[in-house]
Amino acid sequence: MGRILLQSPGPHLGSPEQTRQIMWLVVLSLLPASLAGVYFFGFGALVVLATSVAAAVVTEYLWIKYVRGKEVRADGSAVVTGLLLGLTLPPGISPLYAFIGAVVAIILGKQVYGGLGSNPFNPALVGRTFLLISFPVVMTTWQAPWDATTTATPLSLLATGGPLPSWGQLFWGNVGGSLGETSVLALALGGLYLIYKGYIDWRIPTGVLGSAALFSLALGIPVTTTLFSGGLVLGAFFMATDYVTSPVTPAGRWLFAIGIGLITMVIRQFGGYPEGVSFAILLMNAAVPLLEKLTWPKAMGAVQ
Amino acid sequence: MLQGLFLILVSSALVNNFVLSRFLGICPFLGVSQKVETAVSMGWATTLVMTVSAVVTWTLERYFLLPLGLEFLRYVVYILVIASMVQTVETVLAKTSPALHRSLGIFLPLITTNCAVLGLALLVSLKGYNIVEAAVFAVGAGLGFTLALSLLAGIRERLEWADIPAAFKGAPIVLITAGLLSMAFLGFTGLVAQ
Amino acid sequence: MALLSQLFKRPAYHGGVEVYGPRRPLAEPITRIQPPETVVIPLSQHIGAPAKPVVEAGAEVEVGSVLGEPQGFVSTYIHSSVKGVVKGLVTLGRPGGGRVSAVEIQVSADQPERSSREVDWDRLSGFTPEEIKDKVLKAGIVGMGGAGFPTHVKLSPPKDKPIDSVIVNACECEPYLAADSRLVVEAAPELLAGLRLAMQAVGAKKGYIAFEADRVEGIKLLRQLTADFADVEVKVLPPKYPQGSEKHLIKSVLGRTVPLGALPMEVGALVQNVATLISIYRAVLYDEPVTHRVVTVNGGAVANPSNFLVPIGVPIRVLLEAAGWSEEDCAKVVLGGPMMGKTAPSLEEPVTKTTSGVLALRQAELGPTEPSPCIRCGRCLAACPMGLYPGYIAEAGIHNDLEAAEKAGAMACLECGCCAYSCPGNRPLVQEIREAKLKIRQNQQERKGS
Repeated sequence: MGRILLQSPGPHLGSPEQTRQIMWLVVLSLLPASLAGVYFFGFGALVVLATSVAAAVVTEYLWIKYVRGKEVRADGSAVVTGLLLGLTLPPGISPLYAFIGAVVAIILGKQVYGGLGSNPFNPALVGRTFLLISFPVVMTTWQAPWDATTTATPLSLLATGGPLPSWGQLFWGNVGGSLGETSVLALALGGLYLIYKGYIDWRIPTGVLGSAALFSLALGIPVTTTLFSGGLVLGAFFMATDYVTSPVTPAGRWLFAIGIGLITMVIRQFGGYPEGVSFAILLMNAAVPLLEKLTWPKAMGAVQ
Repeated sequence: MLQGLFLILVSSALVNNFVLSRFLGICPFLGVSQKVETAVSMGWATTLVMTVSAVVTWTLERYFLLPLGLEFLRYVVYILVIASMVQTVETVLAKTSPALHRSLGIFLPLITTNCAVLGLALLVSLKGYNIVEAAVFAVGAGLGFTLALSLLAGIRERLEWADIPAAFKGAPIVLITAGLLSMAFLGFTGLVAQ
Repeated sequence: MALLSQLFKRPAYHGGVEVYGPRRPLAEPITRIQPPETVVIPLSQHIGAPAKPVVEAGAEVEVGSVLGEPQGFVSTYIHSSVKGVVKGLVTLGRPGGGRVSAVEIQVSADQPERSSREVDWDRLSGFTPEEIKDKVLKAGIVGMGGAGFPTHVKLSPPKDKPIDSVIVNACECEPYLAADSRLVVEAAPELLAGLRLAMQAVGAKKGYIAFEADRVEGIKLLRQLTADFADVEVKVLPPKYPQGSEKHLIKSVLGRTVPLGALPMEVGALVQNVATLISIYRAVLYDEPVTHRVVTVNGGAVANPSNFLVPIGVPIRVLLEAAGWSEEDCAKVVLGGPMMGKTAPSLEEPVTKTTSGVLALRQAELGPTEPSPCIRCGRCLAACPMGLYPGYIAEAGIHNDLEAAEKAGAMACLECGCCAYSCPGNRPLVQEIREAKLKIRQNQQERKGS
């Protein structure tokens, strides 16, 4: 027999899931929130989102191809970063800032560390926080839905003691806020879908929202206001659950999530910023290596 | 009273973290953060030195320098105190844990020149704290220092295996990470009314 | 129904994967394969030293003639599976690397019929443990589940490690395979007799026959046959790979955990494969050596998945043709199961005592193989039945940090493939961990030597 047989190591069965498939499904699950953002805030929001995504993709492509000199694989992760960043920006913002944020997010947040899988911090949040501290006024000017008048977000109202929107408004999205954070309904749809498919670990949203809720209960703040305002839901389902920047162990994920919920509430209640999710997630991202050490799996039959 | 002390602790540990907000103590921050184990040990050693030095320098300032009008000797006196504290810690460590002593290496005696320790002592006199507040402030500073060091060490251990571009390998990526860490700590701004 | 409840139960151990594959040919009765013109019988089909050849070119052999004698305690006999004339010694490449000597035999036209054996229950108790072990050795019996560990050694644990339970692995947890499951249904009394002899040999008080819940026919049959036995019990377990792994069977059946780095004897347990036990029975009562084994031929490129009773030394080409394989459709030929099996070096590769299956897989079954970076999704950690973090061990191996790899438990890895199967980045985790283990072992030997 002349045929040369293929020699390769096992297992000899295809994996049921592929990275690319996971990334693109995350993009799909962000569509409801993106559409809600455009619905409430108009064409300007679409431009911001599109700029953010395009800038992220192009920056990553150029970096990998020309700075690293490697083949570029379209794995969808840059699209996710761009989309997430866009969703955290004020809807009326000039697309220039979306562009700057995306470039910073991809380069400083991901590529200098070696690309997909190596970054310690959530790239979208790196971009967003960078914009916040560099351009504080632009990043805290909010629009009311359907018209271009400036307004206050529910959280800033909470901080200053103004009249709050009803929880129904908060849930549906008819309030001021970042592009993608306002419609809890749209976010929850996407998020629950990801949990159902097993593409994000249910422990993380449960931990984040759960600890934030408990904190509110302890302080006597209405739980629905806490959960439905600001970027908590967006952060809980889409940012904190990023595989690369969250712990790999189930127990570590619980600690991570609870930490995020608590820090968010501490910053919201006692800190200078009205919203704390971005900072909370970045801080807990930094703690991930330590959390993993703490919750390292125990081998079967290992001595204590 | 207790609430005030708690706020001082949170302030020096998180809100105005000595490394990430005040940018003091960068030398050991970058030099001893390759492994979590050594980072944590360095943190404890520094916290110990900070706390004892703060209390001793406070006492000297209150009962010796100020009454005798010798404020101009402040720097000299503070540094002498810190240096002797570090020497003590070094000797004790060499006897009790030689392996740790070896792994900390040159950075242990360098705690003497750690601007965070001197800075802490000077800040105490600047803020006019009493002795208890000074001690709490120092413990908080040390804890914050240890936290920053440990977080960076954890990330650095993981970066060992990352495919970092040649131009960024080594100090550059560590400094970028430190910058991002500082950015994250900005979240604590305003937590305590300063 | 009780069996249904098992299908939804979680296994007693962490991790494992539910592998989806084509149906096993559970309903295909075992059919015989006739040997072709020549057979090639390797002198090492087991763990330990290869057998020393005791025949030369021109020697006439019968079915069961000794071709090779053991060298040392961890070694065993090799017998001829056919009637014929020895052509000489040849060298073969082993699946997975290395070389082995083999005896090439010209097969005669007249082959004797393989007899079916009735179980003579009365004679069983008449054999002493020493007699049983001696006959097991003389028959060349090794672990036929795939490991190939000489059974007489396994039946001789040291005096300070007594065995109280013998577990029959009737799980056959690898997808695609049905050889053991079919044997259970067609040779159940022989299996029970073999179990009895094994229990006698080690002085065990209890015997267990462990099934995955979907082997309905086998479970029913064995429950009937063991209804009157107080000391033999049928255990039904959730069908999750690698349920049939020794340590995981012991955990599931006895609730005992084998300490890391130790053998099952440490917790008083002994696990044996179905085919091995049937061979023990035939050897002890009829002095019959291991000359044939049941092999499943399956895979997307096989038209008629079958279970064949094959003489050892028959090339796999014969089996594939008998099962109607399509050579053009076939992207890979695998010996054993798809999770832990090794790719066949050539179509002339002979069936050995440990060949449980021959798979002809299509490209669609193999899936994408281009690896992409690790995204720390944690699926490998969740899937590892040994409770390790395989992605980390593999990375440590790649970066040559052998200390980190060993500390993370590299040597505890079973190479079961759960991690690589689950990895959405198609990372070759098993291969990377295997290489790390190799380097660690080399270092250990160097240190011992110096």
